[in-house]
Amino acid sequence: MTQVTERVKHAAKWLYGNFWFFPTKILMRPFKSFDQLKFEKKGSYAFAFFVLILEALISIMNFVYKGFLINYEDIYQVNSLYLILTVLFPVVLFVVGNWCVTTLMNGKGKLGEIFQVTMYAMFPMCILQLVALFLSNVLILDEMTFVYALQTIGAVLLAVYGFIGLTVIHEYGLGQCIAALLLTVAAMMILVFILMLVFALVADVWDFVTVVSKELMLKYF
Amino acid sequence: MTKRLICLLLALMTLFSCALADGRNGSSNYLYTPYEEIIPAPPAYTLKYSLTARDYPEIDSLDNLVDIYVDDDAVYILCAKRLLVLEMDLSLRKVLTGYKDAEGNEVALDGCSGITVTPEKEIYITQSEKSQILNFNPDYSLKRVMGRPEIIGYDNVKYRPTKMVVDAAGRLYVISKGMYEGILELNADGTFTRFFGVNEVTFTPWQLFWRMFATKEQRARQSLWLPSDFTNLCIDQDGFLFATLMADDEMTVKRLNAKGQNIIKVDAEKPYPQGDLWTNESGFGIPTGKSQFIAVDVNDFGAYVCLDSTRSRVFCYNEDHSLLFIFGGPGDREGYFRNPVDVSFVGEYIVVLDALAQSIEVFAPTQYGKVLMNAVKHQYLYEYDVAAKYWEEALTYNHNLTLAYSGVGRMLLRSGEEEEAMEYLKMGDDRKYYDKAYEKVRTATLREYFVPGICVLLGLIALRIVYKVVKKIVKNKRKDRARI
Repeated sequence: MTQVTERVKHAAKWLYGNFWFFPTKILMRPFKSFDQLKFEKKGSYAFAFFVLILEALISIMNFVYKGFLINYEDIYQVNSLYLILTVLFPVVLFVVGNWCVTTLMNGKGKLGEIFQVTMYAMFPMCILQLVALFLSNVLILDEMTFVYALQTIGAVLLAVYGFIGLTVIHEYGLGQCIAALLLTVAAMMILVFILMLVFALVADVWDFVTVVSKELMLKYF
Repeated sequence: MTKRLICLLLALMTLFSCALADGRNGSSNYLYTPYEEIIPAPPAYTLKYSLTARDYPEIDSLDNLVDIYVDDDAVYILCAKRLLVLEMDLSLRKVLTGYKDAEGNEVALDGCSGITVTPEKEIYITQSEKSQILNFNPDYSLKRVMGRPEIIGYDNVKYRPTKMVVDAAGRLYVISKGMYEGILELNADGTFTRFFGVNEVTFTPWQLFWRMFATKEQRARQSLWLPSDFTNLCIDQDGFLFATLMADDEMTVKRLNAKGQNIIKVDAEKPYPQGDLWTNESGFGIPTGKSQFIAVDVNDFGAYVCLDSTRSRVFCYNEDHSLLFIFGGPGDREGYFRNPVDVSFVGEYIVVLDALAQSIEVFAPTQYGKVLMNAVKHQYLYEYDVAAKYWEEALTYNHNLTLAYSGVGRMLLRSGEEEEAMEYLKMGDDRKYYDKAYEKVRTATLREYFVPGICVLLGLIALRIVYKVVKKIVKNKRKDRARI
């Protein structure tokens, strides 16, 4: 019995520490906390994936549950897989692109750390988006400015905390980090280009295989 | 058992009869949802009869139909070589094939392209290739021939008046083919005053980009970027000009004010009245590209019909530029057109001239169409209660009619039933009025729950304070005891 309560207590402590205490600490003292994330291994993958899933869910909820007054989407035509991809794909692209660039630019951050920093920086945006989503169902058109303001503040926070986090984990200066981010954008474009190329080639190969197999079938069977 | 069978049979029969009635009558029975999807709609206007030269023994053919004009007691139908004046029931009153000119010579009508009639029953006929406008007295005798107006600086541009209208002040608005500066505004005596409603030339950045690289020779061979030509015009119930034009963008119909600006303004989420919203861009043997309006007519409560030359369809919009119904289409079948050239309201009927079939196609409203038009009419006259009744009836014919839901919703909002209004306005995709209804509902809810809510909040705070005080007292007592 005591063992069970001990376990529950432990789990609650873990939950509180990883899902509330540390993420909010980052909001208060970003430099110190991101430093802890890197050197004291305070970052949690569980929380990072939780934020990623939450953001994907929010993108679906924003499509379906946003207040009628500002929702111009046809909610019966929702494509949840597509909406999930609109979150997942840019995140993966950014993390991989940033990792590619910073490895070449003497960045000290690892792939996992970049991912964690991005997700921790996204956390305040998620919360603000949820609040905005709720408000969009309650407010009238004249007051919808608040909703848009919240969403904008969320995006700005993502940029600010992401920037601070990346500078800290790569141990960069200000100018260096800006340069790295610009190069990251370029790298993301290149990645997209390569992906398109790969898909086109795979489609061609697949075409070739099907045609050959069809020919063989017609000739011998 | 037999009763049940009979019931089932009857049900099946009604089902099939409905399907047949729906499929047979009318043409192009569809509408667009607020999300620009195509949904079927019941036919609003169906072909009543089509008139050919055979129905008028006095004339031998109806070739080269070009224009129709309707005033309060007659219908004027113009062919290239004759003018038919019809009664409102489309029986023949008079055929005009020629006139006596000033010298008394008999001149046959030829190459006519447009007609308009003033309230004083003076008839104007434009002859584009002869560069002149004929003006007839109400007794069909020639009053004057108006030649080319003097326009300084345009001496080498050919004057080809194709269509014209006369406004309440007696000014003439003439479309001249190939004059890209706009509609010509002439005084009553035929002198030129100004160009009116010029269509701005627009380019895409991409076009400009390619032009940067073109050599002089290439540029010379490229087609000129000219403002688009007007094709047809009419005057609406408020005295504004409705004009159609050959345009590359979606604005192929414009409503022009006295300054010549387009005053068709639609909300950001609503499409401009542009005919078909979904069009195929490539294909074999089928019309491609967006709709191109070539004729427009307005009735006395602001509803206007536009004739699309791309797919031979007629689109009807209300005074708020929402699509009401569509009919017509390319083809030889009943209710379809081969080469429609003009469209007009005749009473509650709609008449379309088919130049290739040489026929006058008369469309009558179905029960659904009548209800729809009545609703639009009463809404235009600010009789919202009556309009709402018609909207409700329209909903029994067409569950997908967004406009009707918003019409009913607005009426409910006015009569103070905000919650029901919200439901209807949501289905009507009417955010502006949903906002108003919701604001009222929210205010009422807040008013109802504000006092109890605050009471509960204050109670909780009070409880907390009491709890703290009690705790302190208990603590102090314990301390006292410990001291003792």
